[in-house]
Amino acid sequence: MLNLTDTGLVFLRELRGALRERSIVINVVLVPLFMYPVLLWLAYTGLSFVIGQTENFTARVMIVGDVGEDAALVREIQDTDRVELVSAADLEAAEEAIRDGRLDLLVELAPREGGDADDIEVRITSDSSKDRSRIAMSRVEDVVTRHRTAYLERAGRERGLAGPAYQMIWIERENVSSSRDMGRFILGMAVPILVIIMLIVGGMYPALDATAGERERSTWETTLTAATDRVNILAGKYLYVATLSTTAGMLNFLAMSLSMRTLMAPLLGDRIQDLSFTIPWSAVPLIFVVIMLLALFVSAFLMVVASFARTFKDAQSLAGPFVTVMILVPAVFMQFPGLELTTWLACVPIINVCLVFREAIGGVYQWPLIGLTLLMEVLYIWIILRIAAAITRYEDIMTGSYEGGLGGFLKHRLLRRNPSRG
Amino acid sequence: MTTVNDPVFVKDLTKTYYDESRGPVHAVRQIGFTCRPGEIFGLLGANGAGKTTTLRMLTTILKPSAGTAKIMGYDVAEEPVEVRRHVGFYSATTALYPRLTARETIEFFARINGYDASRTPARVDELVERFGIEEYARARIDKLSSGMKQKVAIARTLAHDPPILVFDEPTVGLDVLNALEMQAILTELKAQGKTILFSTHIMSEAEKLCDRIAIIHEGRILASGTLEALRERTGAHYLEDIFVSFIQEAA
Ligand SMILES: Nc1ncnc2c1ncn2[C@@H]1O[C@H](COP(=O)(O)OP(=O)(O)O)[C@@H](O)[C@H]1O
Ligand SMILES: [Mg+2]
Repeated sequence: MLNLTDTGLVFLRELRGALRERSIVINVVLVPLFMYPVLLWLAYTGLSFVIGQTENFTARVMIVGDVGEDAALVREIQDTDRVELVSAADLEAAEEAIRDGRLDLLVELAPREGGDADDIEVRITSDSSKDRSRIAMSRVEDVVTRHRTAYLERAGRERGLAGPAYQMIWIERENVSSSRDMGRFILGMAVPILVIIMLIVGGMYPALDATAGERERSTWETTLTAATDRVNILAGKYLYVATLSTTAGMLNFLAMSLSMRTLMAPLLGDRIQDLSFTIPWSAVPLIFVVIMLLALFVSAFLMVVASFARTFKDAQSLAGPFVTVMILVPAVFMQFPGLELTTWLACVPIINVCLVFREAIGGVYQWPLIGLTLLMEVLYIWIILRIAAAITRYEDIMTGSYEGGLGGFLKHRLLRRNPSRG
Repeated sequence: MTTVNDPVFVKDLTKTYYDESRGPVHAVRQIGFTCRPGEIFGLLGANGAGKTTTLRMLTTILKPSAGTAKIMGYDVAEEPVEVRRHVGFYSATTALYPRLTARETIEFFARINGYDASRTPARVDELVERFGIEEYARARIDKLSSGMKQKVAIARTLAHDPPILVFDEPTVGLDVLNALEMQAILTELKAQGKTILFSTHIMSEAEKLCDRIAIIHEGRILASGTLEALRERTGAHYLEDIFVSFIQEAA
């Protein structure tokens, strides 16, 4: 049934026209190569801004109580970076201010009853449901701990205890992620999402142009006079859209693998030293398969949606919501670093391939699940293509006189199997 | 004398559109006619009579709702690809691909319509020369004037050298000189032995070009035959009067 010569002719005709269209070349080649740093930079600064909002703020702390004995601690708290002392009318007002978010922390100092003269009791009130309050708490705790350690050292020396003999527990903090894993982790978040965005950017114009655009230019009828089965026309067009989409995705992936480190350097500053942005070579074949499947999925989907539009503009507004979902959903899912490929997730289109993508970057291969993912994705693509083929059998859709849209088509024609009206 | 073996054979051909607002639209109702080898057959009718719908069914762009039509013996519903191989379809609504050149367009349609690959370049040269489009044959079509585009469109229709040519209102929107040129092309094609089916609403054009005429009105064919035969049946001389008399008779 499928005639490869005819499919090839249609494919080449579309491709030849596309390469003469500046906007297509820009979207397929230039944007994936040169636009991603801008996106990455925007995402990174956006993220740093949000983090900065919570981490770099100045904590508003109120200190009350009889602090004559230990003015040193008060001074130390006051001198801490990003801490400022404020005052409130009374304790009750202070607690309310914390609840309202006007104050971050309340520190009460009092001499300890029945203790030595220089013993001191520190009572800290915070609202742990508030990020700012929690961070203020840990800053003040640090100061208090430092103060106490210094005191212990001094007191120990006075009693003839040498060095750290009075310490019982030493805590050292270390990030268990090796630097390589950390870099891969950033790659694993950003790369799949950026590749999807570029696949869509690269495939969108051709997909809409080859369907709704043809209708708008009145060349559909011309195409339908071609003495070949309509399946071949569909196949040729699909191959063309998928090729451009794949190209955009691959170019973007290659550009990122080669230049991510250089690009991230000014953003990460010193931290770049600790990070490794290498994608294992062994992952590349699997990643290429993943990119191809994503492109095939996105292309088929966009073409089906655009089949119901009469003009390119119509098609754009029809495709808009779908495109948003196709980008946002994986973007949200990729936010969870702990999310791993499971049997269930392997059946969710797009998310499954994104997870395979991310795990491949991280050097993790769960082959049975990868196999399931690829199989499911092929199945979804096949289903969409069946729908596309069904659409070509309805001449009112092909000629643009159908009013029902994609939803109406699925409901009234595909599922109910109404006889062809025509 | 009508036989299934005529190049174009139409019997009880019917097309009903379903319009969401208007309901069923009976655009073509059980029409029948045949075109004989090497003749120019004219489908004469006013706007909305059903000419385009008929020609689109014959060129397999639309599926008939009922009835049969055969092109060179191939059924339009059952063997659409064979039908398309044997037909060239020209209409104002079959636009050209704006980003291709004239040569590429002709080549594409020659190849996809089954013209021999090795002979295609020669065919392209031949058509480019015949229609005098050498100078702009390598320019993008969207850069051409409408007169140039029209020539390319005819060359495209002829690309695979089909035995049957279908023209849907080929002179509509053309100035006098271009319309005359189009008529000359139809005559020339007839001289080459092609069978030509064309639609028009212009009486003088039908009168001048056609060997036989079918008058179509509201989806029905009211009469068909040579101009002489139609004159005899109505007693009128001019096609305009003949046309009106058939419509009044039907009403
Ligand atoms: N796609 C369509 N959907 C609904 N009605 C249509 C469609 N195309 C044509 N018609 C109607 O069918 C009738 C015949 O149209 P057409 O074949 O274009 O006539 P002509 O070419 O002779 O002007 C007209 O009433 C027209 O409005
Ligand atoms: Mg018409």
